Amino acid sequence: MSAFPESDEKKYIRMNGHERLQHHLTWTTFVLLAVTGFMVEFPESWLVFLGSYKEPVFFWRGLIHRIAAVVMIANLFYQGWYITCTRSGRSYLIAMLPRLQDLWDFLQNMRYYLRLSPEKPAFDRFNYKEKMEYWTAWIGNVIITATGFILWIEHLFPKFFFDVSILVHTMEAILASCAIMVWHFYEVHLKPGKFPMSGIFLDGLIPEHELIDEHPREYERIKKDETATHLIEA
Amino acid sequence: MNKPLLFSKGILLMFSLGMLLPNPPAEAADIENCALCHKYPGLGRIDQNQKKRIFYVNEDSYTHSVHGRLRCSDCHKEVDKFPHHDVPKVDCASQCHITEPSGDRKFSHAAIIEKFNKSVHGACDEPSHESLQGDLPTCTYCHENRILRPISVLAKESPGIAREIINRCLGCHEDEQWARTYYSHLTHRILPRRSSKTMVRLCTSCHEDQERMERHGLEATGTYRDTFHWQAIKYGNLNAPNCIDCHAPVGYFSHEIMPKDNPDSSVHENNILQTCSNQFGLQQCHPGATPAFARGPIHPSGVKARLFDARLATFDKKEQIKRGELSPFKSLIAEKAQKEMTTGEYYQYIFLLIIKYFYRILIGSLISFMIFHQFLDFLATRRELKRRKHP
Repeated sequence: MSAFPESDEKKYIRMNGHERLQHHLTWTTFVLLAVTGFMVEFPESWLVFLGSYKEPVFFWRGLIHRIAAVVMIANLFYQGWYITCTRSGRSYLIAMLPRLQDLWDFLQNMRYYLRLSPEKPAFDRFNYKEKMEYWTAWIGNVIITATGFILWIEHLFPKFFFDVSILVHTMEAILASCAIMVWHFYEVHLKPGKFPMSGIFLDGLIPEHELIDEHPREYERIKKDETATHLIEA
Repeated sequence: MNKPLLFSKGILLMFSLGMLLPNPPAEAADIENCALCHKYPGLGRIDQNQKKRIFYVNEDSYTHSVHGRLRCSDCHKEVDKFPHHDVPKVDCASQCHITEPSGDRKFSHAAIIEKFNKSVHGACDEPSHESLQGDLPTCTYCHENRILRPISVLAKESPGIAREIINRCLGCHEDEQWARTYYSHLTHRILPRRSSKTMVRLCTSCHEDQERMERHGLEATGTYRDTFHWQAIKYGNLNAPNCIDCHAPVGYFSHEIMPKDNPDSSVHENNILQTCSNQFGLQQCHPGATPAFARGPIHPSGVKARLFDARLATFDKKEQIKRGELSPFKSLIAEKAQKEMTTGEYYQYIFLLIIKYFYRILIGSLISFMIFHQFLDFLATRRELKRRKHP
């Protein structure tokens, strides 16, 4: 269960090249955007503490924020293209669509957490946590892109648009950062057995025992249908 | 600010060694020989109003100040006996013995004071100003001349002119005192004398005082610090606007700041577009600004609307208000808000408020749920791992 086990265990592809590239683009731009964005929310006393060279820092802050934003938006289009125009992408999208089963999974999982039931729910390729994260990320990205553009060309709009945008942009950023820290960082970094991090985002491979443990229904499907393309034994 | 601390440090010093060591006499001629006494840092007393007064003049600071070439008696009139009793306060509008070089008149600040008195900060005919004179800034409130704070030299607070700059002047001009005076005379009018941070601090020393502002029916400007303008200033951006960059931009004069409904004001709705674009400044700020953008409230509306709101909340006391037992307005500013705020502005404010609380509730509940969920997951995962180890 360690991060990178040296074993002969069978591995399956969980993230293909496209998906890994998308994930890398997402997390690098997210970190850059969060850091350069929250810089304008720092109190003055922190800046005094952090030292001088502040004016160039402010200039680069704005530039990096915009460059990262453009990359992030390009990545959104890339993802949109991927989930609609490629075969593996379409299967990814279909597996990601919310279903009623997710609700039963959630209820069962809560019962399992609270020791009301010994049975863990049998998750499919994506569990309700992953689906929730994925779709809220889409909504958040669209909102933050729209408001970000208004802020970028603020002088063309009435001031009220600016007021709304800056409020939504900031609040959405706070929401996203908190959610990532609690939801995603726990799931792939801090969860017992995963620390310091899950290696899936680097090589895209999931060890067999993890697949059986976390996505049993997906495992069964692969065993039944050897031609499944989205998850191939490696 | 650390003034009180500075003060106590100064007092400590003047009692310990200051009494014994007068500053070395500076070069400027002190014809009236005031420094004979006033050079002693211990010189001071507590006056009839229990106010601590310091009469020490740091000669070095004085001679390097803008007034360094004036005689003491040019400003301190009617000082003719010892001890100096009943001396009138210094009037900046009085004439001094310097001749104004472009005409042959005696120099005086009277012209600028006349302009200032017509401004929003002056003793103009605004009704609230008459009864509340004490709230208005005097000359020395903003022009905090270093010679008025003689103790500050002990805290190395005087920036002065960089040595390499004054050395350029001294290449031709022998008299350093002379070079400093003329250098300062020009540069003080070309370069901003205060950093943006100091400027904001100066203006907000009154304008963030909620109580004082309410007496005048004004909103406190605490919300300036929420703007991007202030964020840029915080990082030392020289082009980011401080208070006077908008309220007295190029073409306007800081002594003639007018209320925003005066057509001579830089923030009057006819002039605001020009102010936002800052067309004649060193750097254009919002060159493509539209009127709709420029006319929006830059200090995020809030206080006014809240007070307007408070007014609406008194609906149930309508009868009392009708009978005149209760004032319909909580304060002067609420009364003004009701008059000035348009319905559109009011609903815009309500809309922003709804978004704010929507997000607050969303973030609060969603993140709490996530923490709770992941905590349960943590316990369950640990339980599971333990079970696998010792089945």
